[in-house]
Amino acid sequence: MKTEFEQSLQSDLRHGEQAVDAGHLQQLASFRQQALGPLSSNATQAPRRLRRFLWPTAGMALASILVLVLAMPFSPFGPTASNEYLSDNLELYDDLEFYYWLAENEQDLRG
Amino acid sequence: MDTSALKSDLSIETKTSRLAMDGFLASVQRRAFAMARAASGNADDAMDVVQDSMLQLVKSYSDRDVEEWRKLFYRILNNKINDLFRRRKLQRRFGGLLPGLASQNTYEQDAPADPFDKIPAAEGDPAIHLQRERTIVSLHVHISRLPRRQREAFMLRCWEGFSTLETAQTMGCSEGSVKTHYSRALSALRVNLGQSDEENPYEN
Repeated sequence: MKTEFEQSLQSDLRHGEQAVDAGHLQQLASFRQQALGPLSSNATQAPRRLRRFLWPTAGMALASILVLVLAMPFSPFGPTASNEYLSDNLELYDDLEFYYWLAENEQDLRG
Repeated sequence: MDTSALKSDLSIETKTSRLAMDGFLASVQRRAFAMARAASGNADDAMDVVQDSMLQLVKSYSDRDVEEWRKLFYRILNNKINDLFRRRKLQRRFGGLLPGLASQNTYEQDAPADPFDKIPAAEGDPAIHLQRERTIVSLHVHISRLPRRQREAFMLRCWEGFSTLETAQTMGCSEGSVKTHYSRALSALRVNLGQSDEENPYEN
């Protein structure tokens, strides 16, 4: 059983749903029809909205290349500079799993 | 085998399935957009999330029982919201390296007109209506700032109205975990919204 506070929150949130304007509702209806396309025989899926993770993926690749170049023993920037760069960007290594997930997820989304 | 009859049966089944899925998506689209909008703080991102969620539900789970669609859809929706946050994290990391890779507008930045400014006017005192508008916007902001699992538990339990069991099935965790996440979410919202402390049924 919900408390008065929970009921109040639910009431406010559901009331706020009514603020979705006609333009957005129309767009949602369009998405619905696009999604339902594959359920019709011989129907092809409508093109999706342009994804915006192409740049992050390219950025990830570029950052990885930069780290590798700067970490190389014969880097023109010298060991001191590369060490400073690495020490300031250790979180890049910490988030390698995140970057791998991004690359894998992009492939899945592309189908 | 009468192939024409078989084709007719399949056509009817496809139409029925399509109608059922259409009806379901129509029933959830408004709330899904509102949830995504509240979590992300951005209408365009919310549209992307809902579109992706609809596509994935139809693509991957249209053959499941109708009773499962709601939980499956909200699981997909939450996953897409989480994917959005991960992309934003990446954009924040590399935004300086690649010009134009700016963070998306969120509550923290200057945003275009908030669609929730158009909350329908209620009869009665305009001051009360305005206060409710502000409360709702504030609520959305605080929901977006909840930790991931607390946000998911709150949106499913409180907003959608799932039971603890349904929420656990959707989130892929135990009922005990749901109660913990939900309790913490309520406590955080109570503090942030300036509500006085009250008895929590999940606390012993």
